[in-house]
Amino acid sequence: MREDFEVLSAVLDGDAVDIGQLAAALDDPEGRRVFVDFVKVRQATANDDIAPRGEFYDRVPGDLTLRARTKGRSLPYPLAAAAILLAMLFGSMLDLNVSRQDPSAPGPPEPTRVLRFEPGVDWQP
Amino acid sequence: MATTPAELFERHHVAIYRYLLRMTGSRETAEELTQDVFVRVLKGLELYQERDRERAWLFRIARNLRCDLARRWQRQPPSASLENVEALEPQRQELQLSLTRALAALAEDDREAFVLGEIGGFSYEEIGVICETTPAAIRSRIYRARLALRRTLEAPAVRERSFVRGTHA
Repeated sequence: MREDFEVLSAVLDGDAVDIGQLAAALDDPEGRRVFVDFVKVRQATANDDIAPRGEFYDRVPGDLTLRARTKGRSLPYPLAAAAILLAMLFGSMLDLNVSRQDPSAPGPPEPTRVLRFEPGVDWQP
Repeated sequence: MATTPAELFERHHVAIYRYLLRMTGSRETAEELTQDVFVRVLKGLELYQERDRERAWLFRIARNLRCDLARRWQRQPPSASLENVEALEPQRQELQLSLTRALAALAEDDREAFVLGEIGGFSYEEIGVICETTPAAIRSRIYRARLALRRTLEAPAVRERSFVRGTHA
């Protein structure tokens, strides 16, 4: 294996390389095969998506998990649901009170004068 | 605003775990060490201020813990572990097993440089700082690792699946 194929590995990693060495390596058919194989190795590694098992998260201290940090501050689900229900009920009662007409309440005052506007005279449509 | 240990954990624990898994070959050990890394962070976060280097800082802690453990246990090089990939579908199991075996067969220095580069996403310079060596040495180690992995992964079945998965990535 030629030593100067190292430049192919370096260029794959974004390292600064000697352009002459890179050109020489890529001129060599073996160099091109090596480069393609390096890319395949990278792809195989990139597909490595193994993560810790579920039990791991049970053992991690609560201070380290965002979920655990917010857990203590949040309302329990039944209490939160009850609060939402009460808010909706209260809101709908307010709405009913506002929109309902009170028969004993005085009506609006009678008009003292009426203004009439003629289209084409008082304004242009 | 300072980064909290929980935020660091959320951002980096999977990458730290993969690094430790590849270096130790044991899921249990990798999980224990990953937890230890962040417990240390939890205890001593005030020592750390540079947000942009938090990843390198965490990997350095992980590496120190791993080296301490290796010295205590005087462990043998890791072997490919079926339990790490048993939950994956057959095609991916084969690829992951080949990769695990190939990585396990590398010299430890080469494997570490390669894993820090590919999984950690570090530059040669950063890996050099983590591993306490020069960027040129890291460049050579990664090159050696790639050559070895190339030979190991070039079995026809693995090559084909690597290609197919690559096109779907």
